[in-house]
Amino acid sequence: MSYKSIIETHDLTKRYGNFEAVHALNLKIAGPGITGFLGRNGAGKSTTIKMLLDMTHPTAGTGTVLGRSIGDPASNREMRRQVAYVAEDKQLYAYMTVEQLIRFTKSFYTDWRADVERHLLKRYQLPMRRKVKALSKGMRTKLALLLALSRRPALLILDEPSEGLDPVSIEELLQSLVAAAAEGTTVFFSSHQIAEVERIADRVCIVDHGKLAMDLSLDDIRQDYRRITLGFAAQPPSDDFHMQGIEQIRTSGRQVVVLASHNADAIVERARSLEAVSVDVAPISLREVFLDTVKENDALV
Amino acid sequence: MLWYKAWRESQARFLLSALAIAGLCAAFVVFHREGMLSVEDGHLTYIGYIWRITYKTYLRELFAILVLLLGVGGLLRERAYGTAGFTLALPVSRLRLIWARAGVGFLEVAALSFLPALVIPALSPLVHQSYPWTQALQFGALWTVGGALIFTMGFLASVIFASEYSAPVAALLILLLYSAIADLPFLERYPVDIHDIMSGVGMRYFQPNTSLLTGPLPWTALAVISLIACGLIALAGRITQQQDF
Amino acid sequence: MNGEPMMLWYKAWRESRMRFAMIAVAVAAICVYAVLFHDQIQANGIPIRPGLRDGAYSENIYQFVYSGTAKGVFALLVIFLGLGGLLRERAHRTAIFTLALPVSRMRLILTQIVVGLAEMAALALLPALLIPSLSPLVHQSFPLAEALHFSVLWFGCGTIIFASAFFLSVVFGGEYIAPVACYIALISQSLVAQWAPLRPYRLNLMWTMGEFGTRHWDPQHNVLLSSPLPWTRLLIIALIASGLFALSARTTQRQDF
Repeated sequence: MSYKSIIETHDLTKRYGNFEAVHALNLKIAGPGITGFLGRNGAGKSTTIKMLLDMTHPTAGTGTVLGRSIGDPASNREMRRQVAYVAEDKQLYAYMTVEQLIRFTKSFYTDWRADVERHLLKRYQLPMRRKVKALSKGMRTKLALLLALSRRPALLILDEPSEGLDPVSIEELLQSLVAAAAEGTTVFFSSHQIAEVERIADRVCIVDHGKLAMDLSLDDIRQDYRRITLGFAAQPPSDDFHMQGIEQIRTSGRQVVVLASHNADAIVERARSLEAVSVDVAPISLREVFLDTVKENDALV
Repeated sequence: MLWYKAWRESQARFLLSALAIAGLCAAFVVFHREGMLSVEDGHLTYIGYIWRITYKTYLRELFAILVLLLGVGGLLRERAYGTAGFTLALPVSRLRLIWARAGVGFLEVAALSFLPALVIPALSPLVHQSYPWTQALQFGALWTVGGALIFTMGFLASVIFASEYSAPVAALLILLLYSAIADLPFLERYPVDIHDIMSGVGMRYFQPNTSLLTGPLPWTALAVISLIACGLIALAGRITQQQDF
Repeated sequence: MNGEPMMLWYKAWRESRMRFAMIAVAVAAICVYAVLFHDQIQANGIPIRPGLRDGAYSENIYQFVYSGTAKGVFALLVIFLGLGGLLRERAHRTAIFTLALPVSRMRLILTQIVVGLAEMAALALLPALLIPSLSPLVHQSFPLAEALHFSVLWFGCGTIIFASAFFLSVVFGGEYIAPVACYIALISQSLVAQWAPLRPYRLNLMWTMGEFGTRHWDPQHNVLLSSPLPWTRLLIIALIASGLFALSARTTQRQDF
């Protein structure tokens, strides 16, 4: 089956009574590569993922994953054969041993790789005969990752994959994700650890209050995004900064802070023409982009 | 607040049980001529009918199962849900947690026990019958103590068995085994069968001809049963204190 | 994908095996006790139905096992075989893992149903395995055909109890609400079935399981015999149970996790 986008949603919405967890979400994730899915707590990330995997039924809207409709149970089921998913909770069957759970899971997939399984078992030092309920949270997380990474799925979805892991294991996880992407797997992972996302992701989707707030590549952030801080002698003009490339403007006293996605030089020129007494242009990190985006949304809401 | 927590965790079961018991009592009264056992059957009096269907058989058996299910739950279940850490981090002893749950449970058992005493005497006049309040209240007292013992079987089972459904299955089997042992010939002369104590069958304080409780209730036996119930809760507390979470 | 079907069955078995084992031990213990101590049971027992002959081994077995304690244990505890499912997994936070597998919710449900019914069949057959084979030890005999007759009745009637518990555990997320509701339903069913207008139809499930009032004495062989199996009644029960299973499946398919 051929398809353009790995994940594509059209006005995907999920309402719980009066509360809208996801609102008219339009995602378009191309593959292969690594896409980070960022958002605050309660932004709608997990709900979105659950809708993609037919665990939660959308209130409105449609979507496709690997070219298959998410709303059709049979189609979604076939899609799940090519998708590996690590949930946020990472709760696994407590009564099974590590060995039993691996055997259970691998029976469902044709793309299981025994060599990778062996390698990860050794690296994660998972005790085969121990029951899942006797594993620590970190060990359980590693087991959940093993169950996903021991395959060669077309799409790997992870929800907070590094939660509960020690720094060494986090590093190993990030390397595994990069390796998976290099082998052709599309990785779609949500995380609160922006530094991790910044390290390995090619693209980032920021969702806030159930809506897609930003969808951009990290290369764009590194190369084009700038924070321009302008100081004025008197009250800064408020209406003169409607220019291309300005994503956000914040005024505080006699200072104006502009988040520019491109066209920084032209913005600086404009500022000087408005008699800005100080101009500072600095590169901006993903963390700052994220924080600015959600704060902007708060102001709008 | 510990009592509030215990109440919230058993509230749904209790309310459903209360609704069922009240509903069935009302149905027994309303359909006393056409029901399961009816006043038309075997020339039963109304009092005899109420005793048989409520205090001897169907409702008593249902009551026993319902209070047993009220007893299950606790910290082992919380461990399965992942909330045990939160609960145990509170600055309260495990014993206090146990007794709070037991205390709420005993109150719920008492409430369920006296529900027939509220419904039956109140509704009987509507069908031109009467059932003495004193009888109903005395049976309520018997059921409270008997029910408390059965409650502790569920309680203890859920302290020993972590699995969600193994605990109530084990508790039901313990109850059945207890009933079987209490029916053994050499034990029959002693008031050890909680079901007989609750229904009055074979007891000195019950008159089978009239189906009425006569004479004083067996307060000594009831006190002993209450102590045993408390002892079982204490045992559950001791086991819980030594468990790892 | 070779072992996929087996693995779902394995999962359903692992999640119910402790309950099954406990019930099996209890039913087996009652059967063994009924055979080995039939004299004491007879000496202390009260006939359930007036008119049954005292002293006959088959009557004692019938009273204690097929219309008495074992039947009660079976009916009360089969409820627990029907409990569990995806709502319980949601409470334990493993539902997401299960639902992420490339299997339909219908398949998950069906697997649980089939395993549960298989366990129930095993429990229903247990007295038929034990009683006829142990009876010679006490110089008695109990016809295998009779024992199997009751196994069919227990399984048939147990199906609706199991289906009710299954459906209630799909509807109610609370851990113990489903069994509470199921016990209330079971007792209420007995009572409603005996309501005068309905009495002629003999709808009491427990009476059907225990063949109250339909058995007859065979003086030639000194044995209590059953009537022919109530196939129409069992078919209706099976249809109702199937309806409950279908409703459970439909409800599960629409649920959010």
